[in-house]
Amino acid sequence: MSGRVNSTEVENAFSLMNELQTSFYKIARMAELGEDKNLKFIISEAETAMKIIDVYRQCAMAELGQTNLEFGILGAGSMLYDVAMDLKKQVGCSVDVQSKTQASVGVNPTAVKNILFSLSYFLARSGSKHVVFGCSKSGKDKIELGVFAKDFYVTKKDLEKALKNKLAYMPLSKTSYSSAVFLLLANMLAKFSGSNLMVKKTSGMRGFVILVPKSEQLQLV
Amino acid sequence: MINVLIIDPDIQVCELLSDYLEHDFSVVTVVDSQQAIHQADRIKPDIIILELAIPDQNGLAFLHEFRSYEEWQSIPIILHTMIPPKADVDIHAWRDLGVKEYLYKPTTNLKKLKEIIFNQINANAKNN
Repeated sequence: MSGRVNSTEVENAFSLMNELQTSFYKIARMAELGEDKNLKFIISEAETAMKIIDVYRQCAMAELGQTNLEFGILGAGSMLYDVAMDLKKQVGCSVDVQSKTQASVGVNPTAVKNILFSLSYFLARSGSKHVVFGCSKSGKDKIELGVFAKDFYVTKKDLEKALKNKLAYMPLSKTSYSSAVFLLLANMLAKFSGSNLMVKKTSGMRGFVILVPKSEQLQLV
Repeated sequence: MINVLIIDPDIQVCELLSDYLEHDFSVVTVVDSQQAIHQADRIKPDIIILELAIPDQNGLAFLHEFRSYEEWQSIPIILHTMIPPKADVDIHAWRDLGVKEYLYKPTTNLKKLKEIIFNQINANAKNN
């Protein structure tokens, strides 16, 4: 990617290969079963695989300095709402948006939406039936954007282990039976966006958050 | 009826394997090693299908623990895993723990898995 391939890039690539292979494995075995009821699942898995490729492509473009994504100012709440509706459409789980601030954020909208989508998709694939999107102020000039679920458990240690070891094909933790690839992708994108992925507990829920810059500029609605 | 215990952390994989195999076997699926021990005690499986990437315990460590129970020492185990085979995998260590086959999921379709289960059950019956 950047002239010389480093071990982190190779590890990331291997993790993604494993996850894509898992999606295709499921599609192939479902097709082998040959039952109509599995068609919806096949489509869902195919879309998952394409989403993985999509998000990884964005990471690769950012790494190469080829990103054509513009910086923009938009309402934190409306951004969360867009992602929540995407998730609901793709996965079918119920969603909720809890905005504790009316602030605008200055971000690369596609990158941040992909981060939030990846995180919420991970929660949904881990079995969460209801995903909550939240935003709140964090200090003077940051906004915290996050995704949470009640029926989900993760610790800071789980996340560190998954991100450090690139164990995309391994379940994240004992209560999360989805591989960690979407967390890896979200983390990669977050780093390019100048943020870090963090675990957070709030209002009886657990999930993940990132911090983004608050924008003082007026947002035209 | 042959009792098959499937240990796989992916619930969707558990469901599709169960859907396919339940026409010929009595199938129980679990997603981690603790559930595996509990169900093995309950159903007395004739064969175990094990995914190495389980969340709460390293696959090899789980096998050591499983084989420490005297009543389960002769149950054949088939590894059915997304972890690709490596040249340096110590196949003797797996064989010593009663692993009969190492199946790489991407190259193993359901029909092949079922055939291997039948073969192992028949082989085990002849030996006992």
